[in-house]
Amino acid sequence: MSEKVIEMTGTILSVKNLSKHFIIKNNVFSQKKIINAVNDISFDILPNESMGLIGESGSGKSTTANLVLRLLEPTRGEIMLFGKNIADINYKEMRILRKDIQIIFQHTFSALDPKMTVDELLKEPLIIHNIVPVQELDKEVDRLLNMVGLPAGEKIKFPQQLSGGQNQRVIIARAIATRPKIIVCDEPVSSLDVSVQGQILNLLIKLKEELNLTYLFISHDLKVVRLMCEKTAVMHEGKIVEIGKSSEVLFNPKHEYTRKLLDAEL
Amino acid sequence: MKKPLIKVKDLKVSFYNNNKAVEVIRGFDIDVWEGEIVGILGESGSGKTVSSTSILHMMEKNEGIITSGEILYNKKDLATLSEKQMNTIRGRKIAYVFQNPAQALSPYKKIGRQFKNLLKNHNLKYSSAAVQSALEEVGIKDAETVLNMYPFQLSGGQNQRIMIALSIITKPDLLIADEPTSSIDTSLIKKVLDLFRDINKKYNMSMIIITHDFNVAKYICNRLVIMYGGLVVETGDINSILNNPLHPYTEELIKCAYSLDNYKDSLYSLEGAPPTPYEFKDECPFYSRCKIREDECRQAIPYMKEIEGRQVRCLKR
Repeated sequence: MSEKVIEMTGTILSVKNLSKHFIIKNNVFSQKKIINAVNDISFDILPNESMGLIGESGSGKSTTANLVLRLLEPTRGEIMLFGKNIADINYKEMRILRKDIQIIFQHTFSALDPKMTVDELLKEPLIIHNIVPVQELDKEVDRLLNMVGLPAGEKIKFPQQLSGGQNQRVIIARAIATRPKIIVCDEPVSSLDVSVQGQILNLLIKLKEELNLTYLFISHDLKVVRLMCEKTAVMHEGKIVEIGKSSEVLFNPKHEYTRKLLDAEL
Repeated sequence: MKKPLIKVKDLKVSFYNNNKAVEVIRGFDIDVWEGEIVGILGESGSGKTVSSTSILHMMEKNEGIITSGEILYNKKDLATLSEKQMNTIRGRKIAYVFQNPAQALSPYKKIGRQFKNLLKNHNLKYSSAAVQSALEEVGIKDAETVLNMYPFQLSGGQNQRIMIALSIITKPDLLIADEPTSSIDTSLIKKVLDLFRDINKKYNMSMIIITHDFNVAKYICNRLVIMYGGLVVETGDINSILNNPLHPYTEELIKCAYSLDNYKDSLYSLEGAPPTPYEFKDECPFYSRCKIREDECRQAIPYMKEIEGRQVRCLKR
């Protein structure tokens, strides 16, 4: 069904005038303070086109990611996923849609349940979303492990027995298990070592081609965004200050803040 | 005339877990000369932090014990000193800037109180003028207000600067900074590194910068010590290491970093993962990932070779 909608609308994810305000009240007597974490942002992501989201910490990148996955309720605005506004659908419908939009988290060790083996971790999304018949679960787990480049023998291990890079592979396998159309990557390599970063980025590039994926790529590392994304949006204080092709935004920036970010690069 | 400030020779550190010894540092050598910035580069788990905290006996609370080797500083061997003797050196002569500044500062004390305690511990007189000038030096303009604040009221970058101010107020000979850039924002990295360099120039203060980032090392260090699997695998001055790496691990690492900067078809990546201390064997630590390995590399841990004033732990060079 979703393929049809993508054809019709031309976008996978379209965000319009999205805002998220947090209300802070330090104690009973203090005045309410409103923090505009995300303030009136709009962007479109076309099929098979990855968008990078860059900015300093506190600029609202991760809040945007959480809003798009509806892990947070938006204050205002539209989030059109395959032409459906997920900002006002109910929990049950969202649960079905979660199959199509997945996330890869930053901290490789805290994103996996330490009491589950790799095998159980990979079966969980397959069972919840009813992806394959029960008798084919084992075969499917092997296939996923193969896709992310992990030996089948690692199945019986627990996350703490694996290295950071291997854990990140398990997280990626979990994300692609439900055959999503779009994956939100929240700083997928920033907690990894330099020699391992390349392995994971190569894997993400390979999967993008093989599975026709689209990424919303959040990173503070401009090099990674330059390499992974066709399109880049720059966030500053909850607003998108510049958006466009990566080749323009990251090499020939128009906005002063983007220039500042590029200058700060070592 | 430059003089060596501190000389660490063949340091070995073990940790005790359920009465079982695990050797984490199997050979750590470093020389730091006066006014020099030396970088320790390595992946996580390679022993960067443990080896530099052991210089100051700071891993003893976690049952880490120096099993052999010597740390020569000021005609004394720090490895044999008692806790009481170390207290006169730690923070006074050799200061340490921790990786996570927000956690390294006491959350219960205002910044001003932290300065007072530090100076009192080292029998130095507290003068608000000195503290304020130290804060100004690290780029905190509104010193008066900051001194009356708690660490949680300040940002990560500000806490980092306060950590640096606390370390330099005693005018130490050597400053060890553990991943000074990893917990702050990318846009601030350059500023913090510039700050370190200014302090280095102004006081001729030697520094050891621990990092996993080649670009940070390239930006600030004069010399580099590369660690892998609890061993120093290569040392040399920064330019010769970058232009002509001797150890295969250094070579691969530079290729990885270079390919991220200049992306063509696919990223160059190093397969496999570094060994953990439980997997340490008496062989070259890089054996499983090395491209020029031979059977003789498995016989024993290679010794350090000297090539054109540089040192490398590889049989094939």
